[in-house]
Amino acid sequence: MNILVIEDERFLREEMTNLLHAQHYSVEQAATYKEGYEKLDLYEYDCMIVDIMLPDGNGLDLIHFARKHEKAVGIIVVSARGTVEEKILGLECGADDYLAKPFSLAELNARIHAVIRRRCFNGSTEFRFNEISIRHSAHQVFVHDREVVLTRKEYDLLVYLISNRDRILSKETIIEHLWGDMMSVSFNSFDFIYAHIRNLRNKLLEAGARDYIRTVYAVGYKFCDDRDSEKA
Amino acid sequence: MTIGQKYRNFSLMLIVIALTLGFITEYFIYSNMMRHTTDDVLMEYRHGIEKSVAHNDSVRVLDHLTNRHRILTKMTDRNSIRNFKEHIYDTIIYNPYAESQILFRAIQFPLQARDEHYIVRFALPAMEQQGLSLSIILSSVCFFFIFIITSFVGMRYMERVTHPFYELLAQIRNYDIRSSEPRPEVKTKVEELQELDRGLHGMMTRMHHDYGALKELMEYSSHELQTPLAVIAMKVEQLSQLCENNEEQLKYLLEIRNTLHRLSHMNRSVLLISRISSDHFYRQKEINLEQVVGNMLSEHEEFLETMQIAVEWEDRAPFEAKIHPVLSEMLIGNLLSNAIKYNKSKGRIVLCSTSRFLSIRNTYSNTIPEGNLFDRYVCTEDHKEATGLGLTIVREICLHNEMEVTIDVSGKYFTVSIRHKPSDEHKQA
Repeated sequence: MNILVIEDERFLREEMTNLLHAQHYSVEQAATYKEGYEKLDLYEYDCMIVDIMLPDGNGLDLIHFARKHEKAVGIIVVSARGTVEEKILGLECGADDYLAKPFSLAELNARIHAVIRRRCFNGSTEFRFNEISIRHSAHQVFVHDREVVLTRKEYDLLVYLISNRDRILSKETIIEHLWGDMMSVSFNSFDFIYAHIRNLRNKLLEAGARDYIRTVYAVGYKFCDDRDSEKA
Repeated sequence: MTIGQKYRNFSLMLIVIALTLGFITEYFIYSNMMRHTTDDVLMEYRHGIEKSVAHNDSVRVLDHLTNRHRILTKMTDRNSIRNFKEHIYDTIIYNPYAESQILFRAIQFPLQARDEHYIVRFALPAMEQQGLSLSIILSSVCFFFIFIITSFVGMRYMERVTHPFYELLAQIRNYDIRSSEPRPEVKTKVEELQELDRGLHGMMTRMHHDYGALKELMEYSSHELQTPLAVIAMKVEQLSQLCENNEEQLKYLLEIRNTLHRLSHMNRSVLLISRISSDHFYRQKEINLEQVVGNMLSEHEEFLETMQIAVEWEDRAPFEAKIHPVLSEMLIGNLLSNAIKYNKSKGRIVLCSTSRFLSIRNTYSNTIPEGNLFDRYVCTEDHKEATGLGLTIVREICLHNEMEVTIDVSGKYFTVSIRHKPSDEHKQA
């Protein structure tokens, strides 16, 4: 999978690139509108991450260009503005998703997976992780080919964990992903997160899956296969 | 009422009063003038009669005077004559030719001829006075129409002169600070209007400039703060991945991350409040807020189930408000998230929606902070990580959309109610 990252802030651009490299994507970078335009014009990408406020242009114009030339590229807008109207504007221009800064890399990761899945496979891909398989189009989860019935949030949580496997995900990050920004701030009790994690874990275990959800004390959770770390 | 209408009404009233007073004054002046003239003529006739009678020593000389003057002589004695004083008076005499009573002006004076004493009455008809009234009325009517015509012409001219003033008023009325179209210049030769046009142009230009500068400042301040925050947050996140086995370091990094998130959220909230205050969300639609509540509740269904928070509707009817769609979601989102966040496990949320108000009542688990909850940065000790701007945003949204919001804390419930401002209640009914 080829991904183009257009972001003028060097550190952000490099961290996004490193993250995507770790996910085994092929990544190219552009720091300006002109660079982004040239790369978009010459090459094909599966996904493009574009900042709106570029030093020499507006990222929305790059989106217009991509859609006008019918490029089959998934587009995620990242912007410091983050207002709802600008999100709507970005989506109306043809973007598939919009992330307001600051965002977590885990969230970006999950969004990229979702966009690539929708764009490249029309959302119909089946994703496998060991004995767990996920059919995105039908929102179904199977363990050893037997369906496990999950609630909507449990399904979203599982997809989020698997998309960010081997990364520590804080409780706050998980809340933001599942319920949005408003619910994440000022939350004393994370009982509902514990409950969702517990329920998801129990359902997967009961279906015969291994326990991939590891608790990182006082911080959050991590989805990983301990056998990989043992081998390492 | 417009200036033109006021001026027109006043002018007409003034014309009517002036003409009425003029008519009355003219009548009395001419009437008195005519009377004095007649009296002078009567006096002249009197002198003439006295001379004629004295010359001829006989009152027979008066016989040749025409009946028109109604001369009348009456013999009297010396004693009566001694006390008689000449006087001029109005009298009515029957005219056999006209077969009607005619008004006369008569002089009565004593006369002596051949040792005989007479009282002579000499009268002149007052037809001229009746004719005078008619001519005054006719002239007044003519003057009235002349005044009307000149007033009409005057008012039309005034309309032409004041037209630029109304153009300027229309420009003020239709002024849209967001529009970048140049303001059309108003052409006028009236100095005051030219000055008004210049002043208005200067004011609008400054307002437009300040609005643009404020908008740009808000956009760039958001960008200039959020981008470095994003850099720090990403570094903290990457550090967290490297400190997996060090709980203490992880905790510190988590605190940094949460503080950054709070700072970012606060910045966005403050900018949102500024944008609401400066009328960025001017495109309004009729939105049923009860439906927005319903939609948001369904999104939080699992959340509420997990927390075992019971939600019930006390009353459910559409509550329509004219509001920007984005603001409607922010308004309800803030209220519902507060009702959930500050609720206790196994608590309750009671909703009530009618055509007049919408209220969200919830049980709460913490002490309510002191002070005005709508003020900025007010939050409880237990929720210090909150921005304290949620209710401020709610208040600003209500303020700019003709609604009022109130809080009531009684017993175990915390209630927030939104209703239309009183002037709108009649429309809603």
